[in-house]
Amino acid sequence: MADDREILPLDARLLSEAIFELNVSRRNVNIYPPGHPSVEKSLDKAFDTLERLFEVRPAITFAVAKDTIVIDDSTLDKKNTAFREFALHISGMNIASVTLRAGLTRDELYKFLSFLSVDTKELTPEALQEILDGYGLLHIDVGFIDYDAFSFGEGMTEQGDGGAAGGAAGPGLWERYVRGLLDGTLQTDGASDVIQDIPPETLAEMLNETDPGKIKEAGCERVINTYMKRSAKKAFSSRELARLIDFISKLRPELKRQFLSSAINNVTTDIRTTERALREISVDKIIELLSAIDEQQVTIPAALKNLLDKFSKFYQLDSEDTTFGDSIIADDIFLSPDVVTLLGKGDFESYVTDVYQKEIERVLWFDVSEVASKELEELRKSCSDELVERYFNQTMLELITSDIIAEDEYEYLINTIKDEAAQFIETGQYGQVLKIFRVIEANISKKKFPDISLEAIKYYKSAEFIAQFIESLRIIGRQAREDAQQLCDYYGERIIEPLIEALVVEESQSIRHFLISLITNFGDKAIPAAIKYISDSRWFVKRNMLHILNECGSKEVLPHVRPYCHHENPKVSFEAIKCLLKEGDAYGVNALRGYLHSENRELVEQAVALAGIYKVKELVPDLIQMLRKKGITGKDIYEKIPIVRALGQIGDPQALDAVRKALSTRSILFKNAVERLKEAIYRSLRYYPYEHVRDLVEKGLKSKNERIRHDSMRIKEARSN
Amino acid sequence: MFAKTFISTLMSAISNCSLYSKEHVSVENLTKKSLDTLNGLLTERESLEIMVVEDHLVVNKTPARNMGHHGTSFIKRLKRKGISRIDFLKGVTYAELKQFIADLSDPESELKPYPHIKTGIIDVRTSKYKIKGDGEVLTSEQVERVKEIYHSISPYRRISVSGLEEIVVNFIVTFKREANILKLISPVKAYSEYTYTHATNVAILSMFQAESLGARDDLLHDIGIAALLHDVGKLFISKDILEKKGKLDKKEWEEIKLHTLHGARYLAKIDGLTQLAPIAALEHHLRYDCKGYPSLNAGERKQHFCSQIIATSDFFDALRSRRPYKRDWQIQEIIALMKEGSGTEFNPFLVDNFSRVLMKALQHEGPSSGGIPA
Repeated sequence: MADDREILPLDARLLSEAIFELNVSRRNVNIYPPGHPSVEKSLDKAFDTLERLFEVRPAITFAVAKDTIVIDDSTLDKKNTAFREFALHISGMNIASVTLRAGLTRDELYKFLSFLSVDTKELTPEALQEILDGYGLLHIDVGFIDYDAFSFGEGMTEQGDGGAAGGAAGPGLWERYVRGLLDGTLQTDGASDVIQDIPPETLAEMLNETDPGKIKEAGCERVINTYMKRSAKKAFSSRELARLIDFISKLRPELKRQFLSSAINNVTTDIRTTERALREISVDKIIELLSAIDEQQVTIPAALKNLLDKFSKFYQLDSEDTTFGDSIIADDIFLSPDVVTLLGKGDFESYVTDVYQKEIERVLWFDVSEVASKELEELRKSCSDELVERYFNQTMLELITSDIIAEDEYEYLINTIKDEAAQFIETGQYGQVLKIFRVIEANISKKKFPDISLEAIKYYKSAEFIAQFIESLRIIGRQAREDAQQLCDYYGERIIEPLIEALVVEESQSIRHFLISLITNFGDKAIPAAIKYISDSRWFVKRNMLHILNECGSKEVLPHVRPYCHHENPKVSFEAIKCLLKEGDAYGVNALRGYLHSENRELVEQAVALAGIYKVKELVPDLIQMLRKKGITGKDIYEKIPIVRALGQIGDPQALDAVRKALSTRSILFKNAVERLKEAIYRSLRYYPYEHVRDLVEKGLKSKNERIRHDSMRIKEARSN
Repeated sequence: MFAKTFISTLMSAISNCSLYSKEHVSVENLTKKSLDTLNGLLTERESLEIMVVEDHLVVNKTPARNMGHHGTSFIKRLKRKGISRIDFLKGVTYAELKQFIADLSDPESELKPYPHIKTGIIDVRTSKYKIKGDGEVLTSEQVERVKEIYHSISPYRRISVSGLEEIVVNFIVTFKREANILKLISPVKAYSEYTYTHATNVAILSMFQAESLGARDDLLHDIGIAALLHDVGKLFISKDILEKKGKLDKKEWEEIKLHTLHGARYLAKIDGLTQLAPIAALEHHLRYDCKGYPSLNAGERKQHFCSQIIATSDFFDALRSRRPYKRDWQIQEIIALMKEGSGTEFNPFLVDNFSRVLMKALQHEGPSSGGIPA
């Protein structure tokens, strides 16, 4: 494919001019209303050019290979911004080809440009087609990319199976697609199986074999082969290359071409990737390169040869290596100034002695597998994507703290770091994110590109970024608890509400605990948000907010808590009571007293337990009264156990009379229950002042019940210690 | 939209799997989340088809735009595994998806055949015949004729010209494959012949070391590139200082030291270049004990293992090479010096390994005896 507009045929040249104008019009249609002079002017120009084109031919099709426009056998200059922009826009709309036909009206052209302004991001191909149909374009045919043309080689891999030509992501896939489209050779629905059995390249060449001269060429290959036979080596040497160049230079021009074509088309099976890569280079370019080397009478400089020898081992890798972002173009390396520089003789020998060069060659040719171990664990770990990204991020951070960075570079690096930060958030590497924040904050304080730095910090503090952080906390936060807490601390109060919102919807209990721990770590700063959410209608939200207030609050939160002491859901009311009891609030004590006398046994049990845990002395008389209640059934006796425990936790000696009374309980029918009660009493004695329970302890030491003896012994020992 | 969520969640699961383990709770959570999203996507269709066409994702035959960092990472992972299409079929199980995530995250692991996840490559099918309609498809007679011709000349086709071809093929392919790297290193040669020669030697020695430690394929290649470009920052150092024969004064030395930052800055901006390149450019003088330069302002770090490899090669070649103001040191002298700096300047393990494998290589019958290059 030619890349030079100057050599385009007339019709393609006119179309290229029209496309240039169409791109201007497309931009103007986007910006200005219909009828605006800017739109009219560029539209007129495009339309006039197309009219001239239709005088030469009635219809013309251009196809788009990602960033390249292809017309017939030509490619419009990729480096031309307008063509590239137009191509990227068109391909971004999923359009593969556009055919313009004579009879096209100016109005149709305007409509077409309006169609090109449609936002296709969320549209399905069918919806897009429908929109296009709505424009009623009679003289413009738009062909959308037909992904059915991309066949699926199931189970195959690029490395393992050599892959089909151009395979996964190989440069040229799009170009082959549009070329097939333009040539009408694209197979989207399975041509004859018989044909498909034969490799396409071979099939095509077979057809050409009607020319008997071709058979002679094949014979010629045999001669060449005999002449130059050597065993296959994976690397080349300058000596062999020199021999090759010498040989090629002696060939007739047509044989040069034949030979190189043969090399490209007939490589052995283990280097299919090579075959694929070579297809992308024109034979002319190779001849040109080799001739240039020959004409310059140079051998490949040793440094370059050494280097290429080493790198040549990688020729079976995925063709990904050849691409650096958008700069896939490799053809222009061949005779570029860069290559001329590299092919220059240089001063290799000034620095590298003959002895050292021989050593390097030994290193190059040494089969390292003889001494190599299994991949070193440290190497494997340190080169994992995640660790390399971490180091890369630290490198970026070093750069933005340095004084050698210009403003535009600073902005570029800050944006790169943003991408990294998002990745770190997702993988729970909060420490890295914190590092980023600290470095940028430090730059702000040093007034280093303050606008950019402030903008970056604004982004990191945005609701969007915080939402990503919260989502990550839910998924992975517990694994990096300390770093997560530190990052939350960095955000301060602004993160409390998002955390509460996450808590509200969280289903997992363990994650809820984790989120609550993050929130309560903020102490009283969490109170306003908790108070805000306490009025939520859902009981569990109220319960969680009360829990947060309990953890973080002090007396000032009590008025907000009291109304919930009698909430219909006991989980809420007990949480509220806990909060009040923690501050010794009388309202809470009374509420708890109410539950102690409830008809609901479960509520009573919870109230008894709370009275013990919070050591509510005011409730001792209530508890004594409950303990004194005559027990008739075994169940009655068992129900006294938590009361004994709670009284013990409070440790008020005034309860001991009732306790002694309980200890004297006798029952023939419920012996077991009585024994458990006695055990519970002895377990609780440790909380009372020793002098008040000494007699009970002494008695317990002589008990037949081993547990009672054991507890009595411990109390006595503790006393003597 | 859901497809984007699916790919994002899947990618997070893969990253967490690489970072932690297959059994890690985050991987389990994310796998479940991915599966839920996937099942949602598969309620109304039989499969979810994801293709990588060049550098773009195509989901269910519709280009997926704005896939962000996750999309790019996903493409990268698939390319490494050599695949460009995945079909998720209805019925994918948790165990299956989890295994798939584990295999994608592990550089060593190969993708297995999964009952409901089909992987493979895509290609464009074209024929040299125009297929415009039924009437123009080849007739069976024509097909037979084609096969006949094919078989009649196949003996010639099978003639091996591999010897000669591979010389040119390897040269051209390597040249082309590394075109972008050559473009990057070429200005170094134009600026400083010594720096260029040194860089090529460091690349060879570093790859040699890395290979001996078990590095292969992409990783080995990346280490080679990082080593080749480690000194590229010298392009930004005054030539007078760079080639000064006498002792450098303090100011000049400070300028020389900046080449690490200049190199990292220059390389960090190159799209698609291995991230090891800017890392090594920054760190190759940092030393094993991090007491070298540049001084670190953004927090403490250890010198990356690959930078340690490159630093070892860098030291070796600098001494082994000849300069107008210094002789070429003998290998034993250099190794002795490296051992002195073992544990402070250099990673002791790498010093031992380098000296061991270098000696083995040098004792081995070299290319001259093997008839390989002179």
